[in-house]
Amino acid sequence: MHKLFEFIRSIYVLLLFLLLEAVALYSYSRSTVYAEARLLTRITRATGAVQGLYTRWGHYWALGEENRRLTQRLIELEQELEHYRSADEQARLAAYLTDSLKQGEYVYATARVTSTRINSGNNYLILKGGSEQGIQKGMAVLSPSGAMAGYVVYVERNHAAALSVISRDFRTGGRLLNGGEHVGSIGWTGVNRDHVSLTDLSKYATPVLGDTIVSTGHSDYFPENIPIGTVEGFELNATQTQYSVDVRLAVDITGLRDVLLVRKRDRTEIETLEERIKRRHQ
Amino acid sequence: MDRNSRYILLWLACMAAQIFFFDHLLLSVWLNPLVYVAFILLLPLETPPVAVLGYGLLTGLAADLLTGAGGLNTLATLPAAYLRRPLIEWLDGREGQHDNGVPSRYRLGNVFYFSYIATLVVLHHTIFFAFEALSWVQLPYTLLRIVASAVVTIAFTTAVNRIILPETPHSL
Repeated sequence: MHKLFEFIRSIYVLLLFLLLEAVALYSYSRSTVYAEARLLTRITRATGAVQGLYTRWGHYWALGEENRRLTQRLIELEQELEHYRSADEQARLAAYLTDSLKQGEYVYATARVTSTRINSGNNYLILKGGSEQGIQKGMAVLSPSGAMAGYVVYVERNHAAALSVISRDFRTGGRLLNGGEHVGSIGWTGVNRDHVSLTDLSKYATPVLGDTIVSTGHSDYFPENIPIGTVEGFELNATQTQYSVDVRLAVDITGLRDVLLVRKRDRTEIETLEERIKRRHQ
Repeated sequence: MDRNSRYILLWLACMAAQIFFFDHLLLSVWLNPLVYVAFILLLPLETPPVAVLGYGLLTGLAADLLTGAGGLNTLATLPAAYLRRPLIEWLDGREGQHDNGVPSRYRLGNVFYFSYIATLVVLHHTIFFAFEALSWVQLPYTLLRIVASAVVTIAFTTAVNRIILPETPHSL
């Protein structure tokens, strides 16, 4: 027994390491895209608050009485200017929503992009706009020109997080605009921020370099015929049954400043029906 | 400033650089340096292994909480913390005896220092990016991410070593 204790004492650091590593692995395996988005939203907000605090402290300690009065005046002018900037931004965002958009089958909203990531497996856009501005989970995120950019995965009161099209967890359907009705699967390969792949496309489709790839309309998130990108290359798989198409994205994720958000007007009704069907079969 | 204060400053500097700067880099999809691991690498050579493991857990957990990574940073940092002592002993056997204190180029020599830093940074980044990708399909691109990010982390580690921890052998 004594020897056993001695043995355990001699390797307790290894045992502790293995135990902690196992817990970390379990924790990572249970982490979800929604939890990740939620944390990211809060961290972005906290980061902004901390940076604001640093700036205020820096000003306070650096300036004398005269400078404080000047700063006060500067703040007043900045607030006045911010009022105009805000009005300008609201007018710019509202201009995207034409009358025809407001009355159609889809509900539209607009938002400004406050933060973008491109260097992770899953990359998010943080939007300045949340439930109070009419943004809902599951809304499609489009560039101002109408190209696919992502979809909303988490919504707070005044902010939302959207999973961008250059994320490993992002999946949707796509088809060639002029190459038949065959449908494939759009996904990011993790290789290039300007490219995604259209896989599982039938060999009977007729891809052509430069042809446009659009959404299928069977998606929970995206309306039909939303431009995704253009064909830059394609090849048949080893069994000669399906195409894999290299797609250059229509959207430049890092250059997004404003976005359009879209959701089917009767999406809530559809979700309620799907929920009833699910419950009936449980 | 005493040694404990310098290490608290080092930890805060590493975490702040990670959260406020490197996590928001928009230069390339290949560049995601994980610079917080510098704190573990620069702990004094005589630090007991169980304490290094504890610091590794603390640093990994903090990075996970602040970046929403769900345990991935802890998963990558713990092996670097655990293998630090065996690596030092192995390199020491090859290079001769070293004294205790802060690991630095001045104290250990360039070959020992860069072998030590590069091995643990590459190990840490390999675990992180391999678990993030969870696929062998993009292996060449994952390797490119590891190399590009590790080069930046090694440069960062050497820079904070010089700035926050003095390089002379008897100062710390």
